[in-house]
Amino acid sequence: MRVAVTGATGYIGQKLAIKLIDDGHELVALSRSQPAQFKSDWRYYDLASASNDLPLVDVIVHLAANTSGEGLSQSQEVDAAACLLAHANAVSAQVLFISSQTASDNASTAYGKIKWDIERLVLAGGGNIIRPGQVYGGELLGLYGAIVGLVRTLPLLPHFVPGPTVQPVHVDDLVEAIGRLAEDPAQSSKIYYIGASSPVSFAEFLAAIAKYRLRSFKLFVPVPSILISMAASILGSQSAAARLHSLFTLQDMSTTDDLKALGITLRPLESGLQPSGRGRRALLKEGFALFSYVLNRAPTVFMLRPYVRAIELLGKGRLLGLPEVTLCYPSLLGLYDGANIQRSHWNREVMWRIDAATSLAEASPMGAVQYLGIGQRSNFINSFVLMGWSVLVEAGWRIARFVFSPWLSFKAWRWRKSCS
Amino acid sequence: MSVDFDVIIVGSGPAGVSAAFPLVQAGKRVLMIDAGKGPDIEPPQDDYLTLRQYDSTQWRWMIGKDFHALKMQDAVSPKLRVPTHAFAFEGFSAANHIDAKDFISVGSLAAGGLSNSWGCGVARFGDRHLAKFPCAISEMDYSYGAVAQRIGVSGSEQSDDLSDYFGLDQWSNGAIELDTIHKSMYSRYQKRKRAVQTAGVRVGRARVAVLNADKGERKACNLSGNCLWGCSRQSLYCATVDLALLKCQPGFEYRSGLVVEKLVEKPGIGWELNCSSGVDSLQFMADTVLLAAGTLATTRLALNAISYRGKRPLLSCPTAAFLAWVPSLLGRPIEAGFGLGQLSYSVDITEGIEGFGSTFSPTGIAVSEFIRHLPFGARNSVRFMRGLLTSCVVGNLFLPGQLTNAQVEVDECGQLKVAGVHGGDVDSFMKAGHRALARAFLRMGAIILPGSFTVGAPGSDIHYAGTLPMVKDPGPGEVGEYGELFGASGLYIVDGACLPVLSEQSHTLTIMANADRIARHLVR
Repeated sequence: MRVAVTGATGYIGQKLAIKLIDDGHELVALSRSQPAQFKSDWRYYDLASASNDLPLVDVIVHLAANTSGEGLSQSQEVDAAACLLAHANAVSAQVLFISSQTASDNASTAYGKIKWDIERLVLAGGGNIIRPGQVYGGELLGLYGAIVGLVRTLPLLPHFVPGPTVQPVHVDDLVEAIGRLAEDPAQSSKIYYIGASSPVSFAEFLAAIAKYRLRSFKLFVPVPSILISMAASILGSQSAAARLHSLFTLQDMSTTDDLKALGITLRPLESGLQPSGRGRRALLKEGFALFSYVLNRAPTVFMLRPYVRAIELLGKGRLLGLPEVTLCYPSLLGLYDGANIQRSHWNREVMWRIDAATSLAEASPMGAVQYLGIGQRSNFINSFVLMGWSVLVEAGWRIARFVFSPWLSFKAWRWRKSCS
Repeated sequence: MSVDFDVIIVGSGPAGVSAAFPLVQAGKRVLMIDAGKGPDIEPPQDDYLTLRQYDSTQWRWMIGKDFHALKMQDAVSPKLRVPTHAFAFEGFSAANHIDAKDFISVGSLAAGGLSNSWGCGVARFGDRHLAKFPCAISEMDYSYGAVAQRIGVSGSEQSDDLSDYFGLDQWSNGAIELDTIHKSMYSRYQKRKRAVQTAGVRVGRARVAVLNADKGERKACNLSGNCLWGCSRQSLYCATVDLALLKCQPGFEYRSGLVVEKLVEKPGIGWELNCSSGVDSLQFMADTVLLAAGTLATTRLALNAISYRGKRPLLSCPTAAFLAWVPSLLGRPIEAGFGLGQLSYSVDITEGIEGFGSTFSPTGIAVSEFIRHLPFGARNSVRFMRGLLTSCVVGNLFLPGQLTNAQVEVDECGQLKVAGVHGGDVDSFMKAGHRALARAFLRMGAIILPGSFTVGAPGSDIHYAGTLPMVKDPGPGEVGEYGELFGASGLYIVDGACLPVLSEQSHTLTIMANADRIARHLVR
């Protein structure tokens, strides 16, 4: 599929561009500067210009927006969207507009008002809309970057009362949702609401950033929300105070049905906020140990990516906390495998992950060799020896499991404690 | 609202399309309605073993980009874990208001229904079973022939010991090549036939709805081994093949994306179908309506249409699976081959009860499926299976449907409750079947591995039938000789729900033949 993305160098745009390319789509990046993070077809695109050269594509994802509130009039941004829609109509491309939770007819910011106006145009033109909640995660860009910066520098964090709530969505999950919708657009035009189904208070969101992203402890001071409303009305709709104030007027979105319709499971804040690399690297190491154990060979990092993603999606991104020694000597995992001495929650999770690793490791060329013996010499004698050896080794492990069972129970107890 | 169609068919599975052909060919205006789900992932395009060796992103179709196989880890059958078939099963029970308790209930919202993911086993019910149909056997035979020729069935080069049992050889298009291990077992059977048969087991080639020669858009089987993962050549029959043919016929209209919620009789006009697309609701009207939505969905619609509040029996075949090992072939290199039934057997269980099953090559099934049943740790299981699996076959055993005690009932909210247990005899019959097969297999050089013979949970056969059986003089909750529901003139049941008997044999072809027969009657 040929997909054009406006704002392809932005916070969400780059992630989306890379995903679309990975999924084998032909990407046309539309932005003011040439993207440096990925290689694709690129055309200069400016919301302020009336004469953009738009490509022939199947889908247009409209992400470009003026987030600074300067240098562009409201009508220019809406006109640019109208141009884009007219072009899409002419080349019969599907349009997918990424709006905002703040989009509203009487939004307190110009941003929310513009998003609302463009939404009307898109719906009239038969396109689809995604309204994401509070987007976070990944590189420190966009509003997320600004918030993390503030949490880092402020000595005390505000706890607004009454508190606004946000519905966080990890940028990778949002990009996944955009990708799914782009690949399979809904028949009738529709607004998709994408964000955590249960809202969290803004203070909780900031606290999570401090705890998981920055690994620091921050104190909160109560701030009456009315102060922000006053500041916003004095300083005008383009001010930072107004942007903050727009948070207070957010309507909760009901997102469950749309997440289900798109088949998206959002990762929890705890794993989504892990500084890029740190959480993943630990999961990669865990996957490496499990795959090495199952395959009896060292897997490639490429093979481990689906494991990490699977644990982020289905295992809430939590680490098992396998002892360092099993990471160096994966065969020691035989101690845990099938250890049904005590069916604790941790034991079950370990077994589930060994099962998952067994399935995922099989689904690779290395798996085909290790599981099916493709391309290996095979005859009666070596198959017989192989089977006999497996039985002997397994018998050895059974004895070892019995000897080590008290230690395993201790491990399970500690994990349960850290869960609660 | 006026009547726009002569006949409305609900469901595009094997029964629906089989009923549609005679109607359309007789010039009737036919509307087919289904939920119309389609695949999210393309089936594999190359040979299974080639892809396994070189495709570095094979997890996408083996596990699924959304990790479908991991999410479905507790499902009863490997089929339910295959990402390319996820669409065929998803959302069925919720959309059709079916609530099963201690009973596996599976259905489909896909275009083509469950035939997107079937084992392709075909058979003509034996005369003993057909005698329970309220029509002449010759009528069924005519329809068996019509359907078998349309879909293409494989058979045996020469007649074998199951030729009469299957009763399809006159329409078959030749045999699919056996792999080494099945060849070895079959040649031993030929040599020691008497000994095997004294165990009460007769063996022959499996009869499967697969093509041996190109047929229209469909290509002949090339033994790619992708049977479980999706056949991109369409060698395996799926009702979507017929749906595509029907769409070219004048007088045939197809509306998908709709689930029928309710049928309302409008006296003097006909039946009004209330359908939901998830967003809006739509109505259609016809004086003849054929229900082919699959036994469970059809039963709910029919019982609601006549406001029947009471239990109806549900037939479902008790089933078991096992792994058999041919020691003389230990160490055989892995080999591509046909992934569905290769050899079949009928097993004498007791007076009047027979079992039926087929053996498959395990090559095209993920090894992880076997590992989970092994009492070893993962690493040793992988190693052990690498040595063992190439000299193994997977077998199954089905018993007749009346041995399951299952019932369905519509509750006050219009929801269909399904519940059932295996009858008291199933345990002993399964043991007898296991014993007979173990003895017979031993004489064919194969050992049924101890502990591998596993009886499935009630309903896991996914052969459901007989809730609204055809009888000569129907009463409430029954249908007549031509499927017309008692007390609901113009409403016909043409899928598994109307079978008066569920044999141990594969039942899909019988459902199709019966639907064909009913449709032929309607245009007579």
